[in-house]
Amino acid sequence: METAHTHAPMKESPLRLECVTFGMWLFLASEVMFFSAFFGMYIILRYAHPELLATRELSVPLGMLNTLVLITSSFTMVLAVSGAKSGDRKALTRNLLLTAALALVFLVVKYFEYTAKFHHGLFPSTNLFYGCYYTLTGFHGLHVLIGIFILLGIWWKARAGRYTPEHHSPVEMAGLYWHFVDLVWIFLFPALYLL
Amino acid sequence: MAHPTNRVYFQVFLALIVLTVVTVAVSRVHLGHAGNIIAGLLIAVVKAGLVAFFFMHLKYEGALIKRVTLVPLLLLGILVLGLILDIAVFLPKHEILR
Repeated sequence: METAHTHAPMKESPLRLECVTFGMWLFLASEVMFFSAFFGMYIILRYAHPELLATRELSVPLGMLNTLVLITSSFTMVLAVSGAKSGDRKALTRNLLLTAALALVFLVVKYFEYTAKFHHGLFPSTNLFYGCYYTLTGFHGLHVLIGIFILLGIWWKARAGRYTPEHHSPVEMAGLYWHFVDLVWIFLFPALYLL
Repeated sequence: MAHPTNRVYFQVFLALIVLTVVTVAVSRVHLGHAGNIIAGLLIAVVKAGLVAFFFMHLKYEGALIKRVTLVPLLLLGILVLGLILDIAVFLPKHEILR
């Protein structure tokens, strides 16, 4: 199946594209529920222990920087998909690489945030607020990390010329996944850092 | 299936940047505890909508895909409503959380 897929179709049927897109959205729907469980946990925490908010020491500038980094990476991702659609391989590969690089920047900033917390003795076990903070941002960070591997895999195949204007659904699906990761952060940033 | 141009993508990108700055600015203005939370979440919903409808092409998808996205939103609504009711009615009895 894998070999047939990677070598054969230079042209993809509209039905197949619709099935692939449907499956991807179904997966993302399950991902929404995955993060919803943790958001539910955070809602209970905020109601049950409002006093823990006083222990919050998160860097709003760094959180905002990471928000801007992810939004920019979403923009470069749509440019990559756009390049795949128009058959502009250079735009495709360049923007895929840019997206992966920005994802890496996000993780580096996150690394500095985490280590700064550790130096102040703030660990997941410190209290329920930090337990929630590390759980939510940790699982989101894991999604970013997986995203980097997906983006680099797609970039590798794009460089080899595997995608054409008629067949590039893997690029589009990687895009959907990547925008979803951005979307989760759009809620995490205000919920954890600001509100 | 119509697709937006890179120009449209750039405008959405700019809107997302502006909304990020706005959400940080608004969080510094005192609107009351509930007021700040509602304002912050509303801006997040608008940003999420921009990402989903334009970057994820939801605006240009057919009825099937659009309906699929409604399912988790409905379940999320039930979950949050259930949690809020639970907290309002039973929280004082949840010794484990105290």
